[in-house]
Amino acid sequence: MISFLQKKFFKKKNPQYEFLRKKWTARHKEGYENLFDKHLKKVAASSLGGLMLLSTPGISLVDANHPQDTDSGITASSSKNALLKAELIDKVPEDARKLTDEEDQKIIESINKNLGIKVLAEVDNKRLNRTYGVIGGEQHLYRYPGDTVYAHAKSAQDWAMYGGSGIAPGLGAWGYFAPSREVLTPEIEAQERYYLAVQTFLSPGFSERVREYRDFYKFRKMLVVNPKTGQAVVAVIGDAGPSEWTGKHLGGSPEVMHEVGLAGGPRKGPVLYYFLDDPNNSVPLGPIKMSEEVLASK
Amino acid sequence: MKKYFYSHIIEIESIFVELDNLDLSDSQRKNLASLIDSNLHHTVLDAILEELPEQEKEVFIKHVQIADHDKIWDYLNEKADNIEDRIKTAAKQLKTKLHQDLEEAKKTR
Repeated sequence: MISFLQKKFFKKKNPQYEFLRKKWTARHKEGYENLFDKHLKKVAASSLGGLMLLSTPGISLVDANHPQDTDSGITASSSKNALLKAELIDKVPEDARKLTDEEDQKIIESINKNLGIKVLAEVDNKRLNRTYGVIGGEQHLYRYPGDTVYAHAKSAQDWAMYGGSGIAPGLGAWGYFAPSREVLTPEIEAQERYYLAVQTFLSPGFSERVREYRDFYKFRKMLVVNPKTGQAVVAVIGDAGPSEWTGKHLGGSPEVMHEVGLAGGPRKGPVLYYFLDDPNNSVPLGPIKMSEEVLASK
Repeated sequence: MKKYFYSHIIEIESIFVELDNLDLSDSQRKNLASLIDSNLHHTVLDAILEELPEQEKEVFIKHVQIADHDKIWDYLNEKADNIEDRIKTAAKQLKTKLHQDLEEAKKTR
């Protein structure tokens, strides 16, 4: 009992963390004051200065002294698609079974109407084995020879959120995303950031025309929706998998899992997934929210 | 993902490698990451504002507020010489300090 109470109320502090926290918080305050005193005194006379400081990353370090423990390295992004969720609730079955064509059609209509995009279950007579299944969290993928998990982070907070997912030991189904770091573009970076592994090998007709199907699936855009929350993300097919025995039907990059709200706990859950009809490549990869026209009409 | 207008020219991967060698909880990682980003942001803004005349500072801040990265760079390249190098130098100096802090932290065990 005493041991339990000691653990609960007298947590041993991590001296390395405390050292860095104190040092970097002091530097943060000093940097803030220095910036204000040297450059922003006049600017801050208007509301502009205040606005700028609010946008400073890390400025709201309210919990720096009292960090809240969370179980997962990545937290779920909040849903802005409550209306889509409400529309899907009676169209999507509880268990992640194969949907009928009729069920698919009703769901597709809801998605297209609410998100202002066009998704399809089948393109050029090709379709995946499912449109509704259990997604599991995947690791990052190597984007070019010599890539590291650290190079994936755009900021320290990015590293803190997604770095812990690690990097898969093998390459994705299409090999490297780019031949070298020098030719890595923001578009290619986004493909790895928002990638899916789908069971291409189980799609009807795959084994008869492997090359044709492979070309068809390579980096094809898809929409993934968590029907329980309405959270949706546009991603590309970046890998093949998972194996049937896993009980999962597709995999999502750490960022995809975050955007559909399934990054915590077991890192899996049921999602809808459809091909995105985007011939002009105008829909960016990443989270997608309700279209403004739809929101205005509600 | 939060990407800043200077993210593509600053490399701090070695800091992440060092942090991964420490025994940190998720919340501790997040808090330290937040402090690194804010320190870097202050450092970069200071380096830029040092190079701008007083009357241009507010204009720059407006650009930062709008967060149109292409416009920020167009503006900076027009108003300040070698601004990219100055940002890189300032960030490198901060990185050196952060590495020193990490070395010191290791000794506190």
